Amino acid sequence: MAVRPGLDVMARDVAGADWEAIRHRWFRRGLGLLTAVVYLGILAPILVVVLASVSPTEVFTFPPPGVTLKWYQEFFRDSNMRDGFWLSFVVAAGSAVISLVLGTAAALGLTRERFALRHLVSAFFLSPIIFPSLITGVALLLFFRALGVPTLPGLILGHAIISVPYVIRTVAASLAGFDVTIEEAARIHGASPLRAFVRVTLPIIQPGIMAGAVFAFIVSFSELNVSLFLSGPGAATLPIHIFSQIQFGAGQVVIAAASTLQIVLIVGLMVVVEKLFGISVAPQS
Amino acid sequence: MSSSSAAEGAGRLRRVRHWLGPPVLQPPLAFYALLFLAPLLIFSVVSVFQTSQTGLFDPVFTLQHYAKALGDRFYLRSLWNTFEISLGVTLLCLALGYPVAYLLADLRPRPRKLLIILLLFPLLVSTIIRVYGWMVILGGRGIVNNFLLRWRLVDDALPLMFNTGTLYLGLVTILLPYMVINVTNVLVAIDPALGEAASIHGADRRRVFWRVTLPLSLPGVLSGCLLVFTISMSAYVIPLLLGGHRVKMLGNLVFESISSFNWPFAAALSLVLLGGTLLACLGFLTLLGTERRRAPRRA
Repeated sequence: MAVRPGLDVMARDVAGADWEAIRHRWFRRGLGLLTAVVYLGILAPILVVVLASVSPTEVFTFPPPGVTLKWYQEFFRDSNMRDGFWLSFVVAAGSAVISLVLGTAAALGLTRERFALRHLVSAFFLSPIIFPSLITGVALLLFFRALGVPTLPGLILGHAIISVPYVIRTVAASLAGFDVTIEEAARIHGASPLRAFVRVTLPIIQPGIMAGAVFAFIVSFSELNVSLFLSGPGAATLPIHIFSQIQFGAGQVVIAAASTLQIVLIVGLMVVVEKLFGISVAPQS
Repeated sequence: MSSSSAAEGAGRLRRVRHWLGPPVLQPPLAFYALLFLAPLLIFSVVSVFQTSQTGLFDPVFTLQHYAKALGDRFYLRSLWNTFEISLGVTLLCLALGYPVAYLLADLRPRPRKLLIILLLFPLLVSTIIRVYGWMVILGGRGIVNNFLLRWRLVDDALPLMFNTGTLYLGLVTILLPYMVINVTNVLVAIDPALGEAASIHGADRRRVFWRVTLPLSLPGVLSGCLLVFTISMSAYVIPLLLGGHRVKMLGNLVFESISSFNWPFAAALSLVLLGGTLLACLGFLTLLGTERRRAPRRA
């Protein structure tokens, strides 16, 4: 804690303040310990998966007796896993592109004009984040079944619904710091609305758009709840492959390799976002 | 005639703009209406249709699915279990997450940002991977059992998986980041001058916390709790893989009805789940609302 010297000096003048200081020091230690335990509980499962993926034994022991890449070789030999990885990639890219376009449009519409139902529309746009994705998934499955929408477009559209809010948030954040008079200046100098937008506004909010698109990609790449319903036979994303392998208990260590590849991809993309835009640690929904 | 219809069209456009915003907002709105709202509305309608042996549903009105979901002991029990588990998980997340957020809020911006990114990162990793990690740690041939067996602390592998404890452990560790991030953001935004003013007027640290910091952080507590509770209510992968078959949350039953192609019942069950979640959230809101109204009078 940032010690506020003035107050500490004042506190020492009060009788019994030493006891108070000792108690506070122990309180700080307890807080630090609790924080360490919480972080361990949150991060240990992920670390263990990464370690298991490079450990040579079939049954993971800690510490691992050596290092191997054989599970990765097995991953790339397994056509199911390879196809799952590729499908996840295609679905994530497709839904990120859709989210990028729709999310940017929505953020522009929501920030530029004050209209009667603005707050309601804004809440509606962000609602897929809080709405139970289980129900979104089941409802979409019924909808797509009734309309006869094939699996791949269904997956892409379903993921897009879940990831649009992330683009809206990052683009809206970068629009919040945007000075509209710059665009107006371009208009006054004879630029068409489209030209003013493309040449002036777009370059300024571009980092927000890109960061949003990367987050949309990651959200789709990790998505489990909606995919579990929308995946079909022969068209299952990587998390769904991992899920069914766990459930039916085959090739346990390949799962660790598949998971680690996903983790590495996410870390890489997070670094890209941080470099591009700075990861916003602003409120989560 | 053509000019009058053009004027009518322009009038309609203006009305749309007045209520629903500028033209640029209309494609995303249409996308949401078609792929979010429409499926949910259709789903709700299907919940009052009869189950069909051949198709998706029989368009004949019935309330039997709701009668079953709300009248049958098995389903009521599952609804209650789901509520109980979610409430427990929410309270645990609050009890563990609030102190962590309190510590994070006191750090300088750079280390704080680093620690928050360490919380954001697990949220982006697929739930299935985090569940699998717990299986590697706690499974029959997992790290813990391996260690215990190697040092002969036990004779047989302990059944650490598939019980209520692991279910709680999984849900809490997976959802905790939401709570910590939400509370930290609110704590950081509190003006430190308020706490200083209170201590200048003679309040000790504990008093400052209970009378100033805590009441001001309630909005973050509320959003964190609502998020954790809502996600926990509709969890089904975590109960399935960590809780085993003995603990059945409502989400698992929805999944089972889909697997047996009973669409109308799955829909009714989903709406019961949604209604239950909504009611509980409203309960939280009123509870915390009265708490906040009462707070200044006590102080």
